[in-house]
Amino acid sequence: MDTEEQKIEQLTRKLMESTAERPSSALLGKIMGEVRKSQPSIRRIYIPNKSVFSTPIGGLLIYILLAIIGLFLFYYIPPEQSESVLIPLKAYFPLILTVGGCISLFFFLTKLERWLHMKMK
Amino acid sequence: MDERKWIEQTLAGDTRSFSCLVVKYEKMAFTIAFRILNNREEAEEVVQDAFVKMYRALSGFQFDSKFSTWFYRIVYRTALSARKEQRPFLRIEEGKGYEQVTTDEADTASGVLERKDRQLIIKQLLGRLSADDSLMLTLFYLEECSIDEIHTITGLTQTNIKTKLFRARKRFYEELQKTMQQETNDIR
Repeated sequence: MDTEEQKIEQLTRKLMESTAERPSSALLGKIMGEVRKSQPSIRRIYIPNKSVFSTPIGGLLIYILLAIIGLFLFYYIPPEQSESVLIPLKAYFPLILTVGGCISLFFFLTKLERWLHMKMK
Repeated sequence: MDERKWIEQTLAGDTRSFSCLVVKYEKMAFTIAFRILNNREEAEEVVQDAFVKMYRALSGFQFDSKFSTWFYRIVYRTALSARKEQRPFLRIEEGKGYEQVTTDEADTASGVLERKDRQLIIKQLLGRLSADDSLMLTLFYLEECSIDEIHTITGLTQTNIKTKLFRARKRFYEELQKTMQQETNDIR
């Protein structure tokens, strides 16, 4: 670019300075109003809890697993050994029953609470 | 806070960050729309529409180009639709000879530079030029867009843009000289 051309470029730039048009002061408000209108409305969505314990399949799997362990103890442990395993277990039986009852009650009440919560919405 | 932050926060649902983008770009968006439509009310409607379009399309902006260029393209297309003329900027014959700005014209323009009412004179002059010419001058000399950026905004070829710019500049100086001569004649 020669010097003459550079001078013309500079002169044009200076002449064009501050020639931006000014919109009305209400434009910002109008734009923001339109944008807020176009925002998607927020909806409450119930997302089901997909944890293994709360699904019937998960529960079923646990019961099958417990049944397999029970059968294994019943068939594969010799009677003299099974007695030595089951007799000490008898002492802990009330404790196992209490803990098992508490856990199942906990899951039942959690389920019930969610169901009631959903119904109330 | 920078532009990228405003965009990210807008995408996260913060409309206050979006209002920062509006404040930054409304003037230039309005100028582009006004140069094409030459009507203030219509230009404001176009700007409003363009901002809403930009808000909806913001998640698709990849930061691989300047945000301003991407947004001005939306403004340009919205203004063209408002004019109901899809191609106001006809492709002109490339490489055809064009006249240079004369020394006389440049001297007159330098004289205008000293005047207090320079802004008013130039704005009136831009209003008399075609939409094509005034938009090219605005994008290149006022907004300081590169030829490549103007190509992204308008979709015209780079050679076409250069030719148009050269012609627009020549017409600008011719008109300026005419205006000044008219003024001198009126005083006499």
